[in-house]
Amino acid sequence: MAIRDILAVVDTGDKDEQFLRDALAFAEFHNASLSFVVLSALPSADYALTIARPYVFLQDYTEAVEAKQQRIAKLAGGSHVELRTISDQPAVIFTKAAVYARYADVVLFGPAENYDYPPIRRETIESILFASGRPVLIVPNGHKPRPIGHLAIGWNATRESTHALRAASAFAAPGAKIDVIVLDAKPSTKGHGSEPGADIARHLARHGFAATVVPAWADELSDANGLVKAARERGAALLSLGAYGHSRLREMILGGVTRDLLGGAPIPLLFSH
Amino acid sequence: MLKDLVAIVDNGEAARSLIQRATAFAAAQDAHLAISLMMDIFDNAAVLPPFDYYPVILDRIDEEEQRRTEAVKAAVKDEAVPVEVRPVADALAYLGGASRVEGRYADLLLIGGASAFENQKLRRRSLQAAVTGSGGPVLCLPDNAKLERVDRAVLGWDASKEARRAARDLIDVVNPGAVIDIVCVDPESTAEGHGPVPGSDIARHLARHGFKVDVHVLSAAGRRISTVLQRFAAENGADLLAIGAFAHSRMRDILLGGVTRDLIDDASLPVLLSR
Repeated sequence: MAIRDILAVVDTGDKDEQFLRDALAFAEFHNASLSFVVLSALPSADYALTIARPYVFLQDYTEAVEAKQQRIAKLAGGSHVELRTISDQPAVIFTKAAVYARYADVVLFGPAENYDYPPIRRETIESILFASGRPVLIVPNGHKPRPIGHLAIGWNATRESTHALRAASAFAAPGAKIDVIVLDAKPSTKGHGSEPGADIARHLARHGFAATVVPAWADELSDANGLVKAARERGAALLSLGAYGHSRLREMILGGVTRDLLGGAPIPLLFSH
Repeated sequence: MLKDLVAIVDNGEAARSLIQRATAFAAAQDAHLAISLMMDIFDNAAVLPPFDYYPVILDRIDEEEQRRTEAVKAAVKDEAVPVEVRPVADALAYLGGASRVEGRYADLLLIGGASAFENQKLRRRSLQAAVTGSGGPVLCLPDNAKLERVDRAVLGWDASKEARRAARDLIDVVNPGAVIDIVCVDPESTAEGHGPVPGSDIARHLARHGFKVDVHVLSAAGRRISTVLQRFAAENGADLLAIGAFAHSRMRDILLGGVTRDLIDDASLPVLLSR
């Protein structure tokens, strides 16, 4: 499946110049339609203290949004991009962003540092993952889009992993090398089957990919960085993961791979739920 | 693109027609087909007599499994393309999990109508487990319904995330440039669902993927939604109906009628279920 419809999410900060350029380059590379949505969070009771730049007057919010829209239009130059805004309380932002995301093939975010409101960014990503069913791609600054001949998938045989697999296939070049990093590869009836990794390697081979199964153990990859490190060491250009395969509550309490990685990583991260 | 299909059956005789049609579909799509033969080890007359020796019961279970496996192998022997046969025998409670696992490593799971199955409970459980837990779409091929290449499909659209998955899965199943009719039944504009023009956003998205798309807003007028969708599909010569499965709460389905349940029980054309 090709990428034809991209949504890129920004807020009203001014640290995302590179991400704007990256999003435009990404859409051009895929020859896809691009929409930007600008998030402008108006303070509500629970969020009043976490917002970094509390404008005093409503007009300042409007001006910040307009400024961002103008910057995007200027960078886009002649190419046609759609511009949307969600200027509302955070709860509304999370819902509406997920609704917009539903109509894209993939949703782009920059790393957390590019945003003025990282907590809003994070919850928007989570809302999109849970409520839209579309994958989220976190693009490191300066990412140059090119055909992906080698990518990695974190595989723990859950439903979310399956979505990660299908999302990754949309990005992989024909005949690409795919490293399937199989976590805790014990045979079981619940997921891995009797020969962990064998089924998925065969399945990928039928799609013309050169799959390698890389067994890994959770204690070696006790932090999310281990997974990214494993992918980078093998030369993968992108890491695809099922997001929140465990419950969100569990991840918040115990810390989880998804939460740790949502800020971004040196390689592009593709999250699916 | 479809390259890896798995069909779930529980026998080799009643399922013969389904097996043939599944093979024809796989051949037309140029995809590998495996038949997952699910057997409930306790669904066996040998298990009933309470006083038989345990080893005798186990032998009978084994014999039954072998017999069924041979029956399926015989059913695929004369097909034009090679078909893999994978027997899975377990207690019924675990076979649902087996369907989920099968679906994880396939592009699509194929399940036939009621007459293809000897054990209806197994059919329902496999379907339910596969739809809700496998991560991939399930294609229900009702009795006598054939499917080879899909030139024309209907997407039942209620703006839910499940319906969104159906749209995505449909892209892999239909021919490039196929006609897709988006059908909204009694849509209501809500903050989280339909916008002011129901179906327009998904229509635009699918058009960007090169399909010929039309939006149709229909009224149920007292009929069941599943009937409205199937009738539309029949009247417009659609090869396939795609919907998001189990998008609504159980309570709502009980009160208003469940579209997914209706179509699982009795569909008149092939249905693609996604979640």
